[in-house]
Amino acid sequence: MDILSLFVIVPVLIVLALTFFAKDLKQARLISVVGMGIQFAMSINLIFAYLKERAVNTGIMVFTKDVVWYETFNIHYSIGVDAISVVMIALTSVVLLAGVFISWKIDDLPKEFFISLIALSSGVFGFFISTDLFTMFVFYEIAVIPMYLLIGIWGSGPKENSAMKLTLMLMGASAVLSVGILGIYFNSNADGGPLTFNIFEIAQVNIPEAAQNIFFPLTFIGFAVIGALFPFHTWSPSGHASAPTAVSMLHAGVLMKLGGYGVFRIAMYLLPVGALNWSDFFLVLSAFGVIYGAFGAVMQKDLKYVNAYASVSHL
Amino acid sequence: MDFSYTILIPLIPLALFVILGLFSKKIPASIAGWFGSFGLGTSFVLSLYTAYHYFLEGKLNGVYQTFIYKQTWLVFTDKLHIDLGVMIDPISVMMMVVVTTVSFMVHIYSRGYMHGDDGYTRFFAYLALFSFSMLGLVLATNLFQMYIFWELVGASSFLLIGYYYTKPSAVAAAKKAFIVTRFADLGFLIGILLISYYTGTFDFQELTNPEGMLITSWASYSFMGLSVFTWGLILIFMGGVGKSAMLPFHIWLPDAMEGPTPVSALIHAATMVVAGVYLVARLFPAYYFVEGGFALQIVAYVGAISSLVAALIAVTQTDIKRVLAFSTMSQIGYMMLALGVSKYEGHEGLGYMASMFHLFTHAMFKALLFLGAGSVIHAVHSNYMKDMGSLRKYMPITHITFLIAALSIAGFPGFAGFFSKDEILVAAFESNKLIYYSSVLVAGLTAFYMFRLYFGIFWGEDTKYKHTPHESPLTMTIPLIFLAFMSIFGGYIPFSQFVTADLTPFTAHLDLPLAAIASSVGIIGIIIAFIFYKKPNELPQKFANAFGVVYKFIYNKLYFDELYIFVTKKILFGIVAFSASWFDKNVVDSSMIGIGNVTVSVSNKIKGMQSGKLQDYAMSFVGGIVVIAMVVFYIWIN
Amino acid sequence: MNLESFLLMRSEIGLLAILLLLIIFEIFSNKKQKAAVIPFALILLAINTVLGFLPLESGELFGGMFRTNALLYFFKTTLSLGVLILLLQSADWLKEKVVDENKATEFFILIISSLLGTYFMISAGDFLMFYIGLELTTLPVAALVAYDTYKRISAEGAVKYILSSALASGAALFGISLLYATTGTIYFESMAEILASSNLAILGFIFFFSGLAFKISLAPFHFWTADVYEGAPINVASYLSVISKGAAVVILMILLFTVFKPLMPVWNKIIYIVIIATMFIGNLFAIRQQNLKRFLAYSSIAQAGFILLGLMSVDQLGTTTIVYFVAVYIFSNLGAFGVVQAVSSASDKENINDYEGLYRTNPKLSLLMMLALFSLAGIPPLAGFFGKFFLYTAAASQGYYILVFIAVVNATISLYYYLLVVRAMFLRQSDQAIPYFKSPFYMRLGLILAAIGILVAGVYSPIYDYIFSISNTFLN
Repeated sequence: MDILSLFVIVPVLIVLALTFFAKDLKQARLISVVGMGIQFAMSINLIFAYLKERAVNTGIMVFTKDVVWYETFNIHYSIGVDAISVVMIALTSVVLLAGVFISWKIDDLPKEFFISLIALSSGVFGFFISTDLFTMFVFYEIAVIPMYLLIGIWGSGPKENSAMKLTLMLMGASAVLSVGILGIYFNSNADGGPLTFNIFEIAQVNIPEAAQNIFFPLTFIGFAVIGALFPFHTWSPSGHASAPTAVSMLHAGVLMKLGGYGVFRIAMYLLPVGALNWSDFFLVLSAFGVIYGAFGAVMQKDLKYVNAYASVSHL
Repeated sequence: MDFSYTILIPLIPLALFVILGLFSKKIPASIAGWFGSFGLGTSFVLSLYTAYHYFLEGKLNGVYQTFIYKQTWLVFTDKLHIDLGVMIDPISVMMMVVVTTVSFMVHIYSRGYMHGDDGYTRFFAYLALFSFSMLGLVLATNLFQMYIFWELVGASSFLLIGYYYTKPSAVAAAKKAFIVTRFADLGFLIGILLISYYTGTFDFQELTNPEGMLITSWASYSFMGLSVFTWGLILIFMGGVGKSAMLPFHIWLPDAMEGPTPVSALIHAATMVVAGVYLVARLFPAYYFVEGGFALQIVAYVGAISSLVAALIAVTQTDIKRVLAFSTMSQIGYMMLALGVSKYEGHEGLGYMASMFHLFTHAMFKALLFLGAGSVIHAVHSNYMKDMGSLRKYMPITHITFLIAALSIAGFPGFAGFFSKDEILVAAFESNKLIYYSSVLVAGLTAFYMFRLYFGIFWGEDTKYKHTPHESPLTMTIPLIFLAFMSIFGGYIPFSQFVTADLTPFTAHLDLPLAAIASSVGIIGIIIAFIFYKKPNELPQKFANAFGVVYKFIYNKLYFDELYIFVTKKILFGIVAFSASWFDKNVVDSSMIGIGNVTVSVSNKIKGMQSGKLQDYAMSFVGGIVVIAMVVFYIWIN
Repeated sequence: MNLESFLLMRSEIGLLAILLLLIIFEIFSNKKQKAAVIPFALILLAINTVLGFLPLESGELFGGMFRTNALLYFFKTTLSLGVLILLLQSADWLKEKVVDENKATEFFILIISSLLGTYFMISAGDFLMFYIGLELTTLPVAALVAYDTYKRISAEGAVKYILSSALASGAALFGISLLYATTGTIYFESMAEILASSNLAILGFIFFFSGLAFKISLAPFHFWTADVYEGAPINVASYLSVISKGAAVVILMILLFTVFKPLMPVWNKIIYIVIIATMFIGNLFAIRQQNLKRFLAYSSIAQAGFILLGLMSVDQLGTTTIVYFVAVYIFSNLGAFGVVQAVSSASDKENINDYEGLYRTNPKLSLLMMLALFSLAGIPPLAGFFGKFFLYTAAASQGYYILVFIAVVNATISLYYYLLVVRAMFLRQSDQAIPYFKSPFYMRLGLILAAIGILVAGVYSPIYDYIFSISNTFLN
């Protein structure tokens, strides 16, 4: 098993272990701590392995691996990491380990809590290692949906509404994103090559400008929502306020970064011309978001709200 | 020469933070203190070693070289990328020494001061985090790295000020500091974005190269009569104004005194508050060369005004830490104005050198003052002058070291402050008379309020203490003694040989007439304070009464806080934020919810269509066929 | 014609044999033995399903009236598997409620007859065979809808069903006659060669289409759906929503891609509009439903809209995605209906409110329900996600991005109401939560099979690849 796929497989194994072996809170958190500890050790190991590999490997991505998944669509399970993804993976595993500790005394349905949390983590890890649009999209949605349960069951305040709002906005965004991805896919043969989902192959293709102009905003908005950019941020303050602390942490620390990562790695990287043509519009929007987030934060009372607004204005 | 090992200097505190932070429950307090002090001690020794080598061997043809070790992190375009790394040049080496020295002293001191506190280990973890952030800021190779650490410094100081989180005033102060500086940082961020957008680089070396294209060629894009570069520099300076507590963003500093005193010594005397000065110094060539130094003039005036206002306010305060806070603000104003009046080359760059020099000496004596004040507070359990008096009998070491520091800040000849302040005054005299006069006045005021403090604490009437005050333990007095030593002899370092604007050493001379004026003004201030406060008498009260309204005005810090409360509560909260919040809730959020509501209400409306009557169903069936047929035949086919 | 060529009808012959065996059993068994019909029929159907995995050649019978190929054969096996799961899920309901009334064998006979009808319908080579198959599919179900004879609502549903389907069949028949009038043939192959875009042919197509649209419950021919589902026993509703709908979609696809290919410019637009209308109407109505059967009825209407997205791509891609999605949809919907059935037979409760706190009392059932609903909503890594995404791909491959956009918006709306059920089960707590119960063996088996389908059919790509490899068999 290669070093990267383990990041997806280990969480799945932990989820299975939790499902079948955990009887109560103590066992559940023991399994989670051990599992997340392994995960953390793996990410440290990854950093060193990456530094070592980087010295001899000059490709954009290292530790690449490619397995055909859906042959007819040219969908591959293809993975690889660069410095940004290694950092993000390390960050995620730190936050997750901390999240398990913070949730040490969760008393309502502890097993299910850890299962949801760790299921989410496999989505996040998968997202950061994927170099195939489709695979990446699959992992992205896997990362979003456990959020509904995490906030809805273990949250506080108007948790049901917050959870619903968050899930619908994020899934709506990913729906928009899926149109963008399809648009990129069907234009990936613009230079005469085969249709492909592979990010680096697409990056070599000159996608027609008209197509870029149409699909850039779709892709951008798809990621902007999870990145909580203005004006798609409204899920974030209420979501943060209602979420249990571990989830709130994961949100601000990792999930929102996922949006930024997506914008860079997909929207801007694959559709550079579209990005350029739309840049004024989105620059103004984000500049507005910075100021707006700052003012919103001044007005909000709840500290978690303040954090959420602060993170909105940071992105 | 290889200085790549300097990366260890910030990394050691980071490692300390991780270890202490993760295992704060497991590590016993006594070990945490030793551990932290030892770690910072290592960094301290390393930076002294670096300084020794750099200043001895770092020159090439008489010009100090810049050493950069960096790793590319994020790439936007070929030119525009964010690096992480360390940059070794005279000011960063100097700052590194200052930061590690003070931090090391504060660590040792805190072992005594925080003894028995519940969150002892947590405190050391925060201290380590702060030291790491500050060192990262100092060593940054580009604007963006600086910004990252800038924010990290803000966040860790938030943690430290709010360390007594059970105390509402401490939490409020931490929030205030955070919000005010964050607001100022907004300007910083926009400035960075603006400059990087137009120049395509974050890199300090490219931005500040006086022969480079950037500085000379960016006057063309103008906005309201100033070039984009100047606007960017002004906005960046706004960030510095916030961190360095200059007018008008100074209001957080007095409140931040709610934090533990060692924290005040570290953050609010020697390190974080001078980050603004350091920022301007770092970009000095850009400030100086772009559009004839327009932005630099702003720096000078902001510094001069802040320095005067703060000195005036300091005269009236009774909380000893607040006096020191305003004094800090005033001295940083000095540094700013020195930078502002400086020129670039050779001896003309005296102001730059003086500013850095003063930064160095000030760090020593102000840290000493804070630590001394901490020692006093530790003994009498109060911050107010009225609860103190005649302490010289009980606390001899604190007394002597405090006196040394006071003499040094007052510019008494022979002490460190005398030399650095003199250079500043010379620089101001050579460039702007108005600023010079105001600076001389500030020098007098400084001596006065400092000795008001000194006499009030250590002389005067013997207050009835509940417990007899006693000298602090050795772990607290050793840092005092060390810093006292530096406050005397720090002035004899030939700074102009080391730190200059154009990286070329020159020799600065003491300008005797100007020095005589300054020190005599200082001595007059001391004498007035002696008359007023040596023994309790009616004079100060009479004086205050005589000035009446003016006194009250100054005592209330020129009503800046009230002004801010008015502006923030009434205008910002009441009008801007309220409407922003209203907009958020009712327009942005509602439009998102609205989509959902429309869906649901449409769903409600069409419910009636499903009547349950078979006839209706048949109707719609046939109707469906007819409609489709009509559409096909009349619209699509024709 | 020889005996071997009869074996092309192996699936149909197998079902006929089961029907005969069941009738023989019914005649020769005494009252006490009646309950044994359940394992007996299940085993027979299981054998038939397993046999379906043996390979079969393609070919024609009766001068082209009946034809079969790998794709149709695969689909028949899938339907057979679906019916097997469905019958497993209904076994206990039969044992408790129906056996005593001496109607269990009839139930099997009716359902298997209807299944036989779907086989003939999709294997039809001319409109006559098609129509016979259609009627054979429909009529037994009308009897099944009224199986709870003592319930008024059940009888009402049956009447509504039989009358509206008579109307639909009539429309379809009328359409067929118009088509015959323009071409002079009822054979698919020869009609495909002759058919030209004349007004009469288009009118015939519209009538014909409305008949099939009724079976698939596409808007505006969907009104019967909710009432009938609500009145019918749960497993019959389940049958309507998966088996008969799935078969109708596949035959619609085959006819559109072959016989009606000359009319493509016309039907393309009709389908475009119908997709949008169906998705919106299904979703908007589903939001309001409290009764789970009605809820699933509308959800299945919306799903039908999604399935038609595949029709926008008249090629191997479109065919594959449709067949694949229908297979996936069968598993997902059977999972959801299965849970409703299990809960209903344990507690007689069918409303969303009644499910509050279900997770705390019956975690496994709730989990399966969540998986099934998420699969319907299209959330990875469940099969439904892949099915839906590939349908989008099919539509996007022809440049229908706006249509795909509307579809994804609807997918988000549908997620909302699926989450309402999840919310009731997981987020809410209730004092009157349905107490813990252990489902009987058959039910569990049926649910597990559905769960396996939901979990495996997506991630395990060879299934899709296999369908793709056989899906060019009828496109020439």
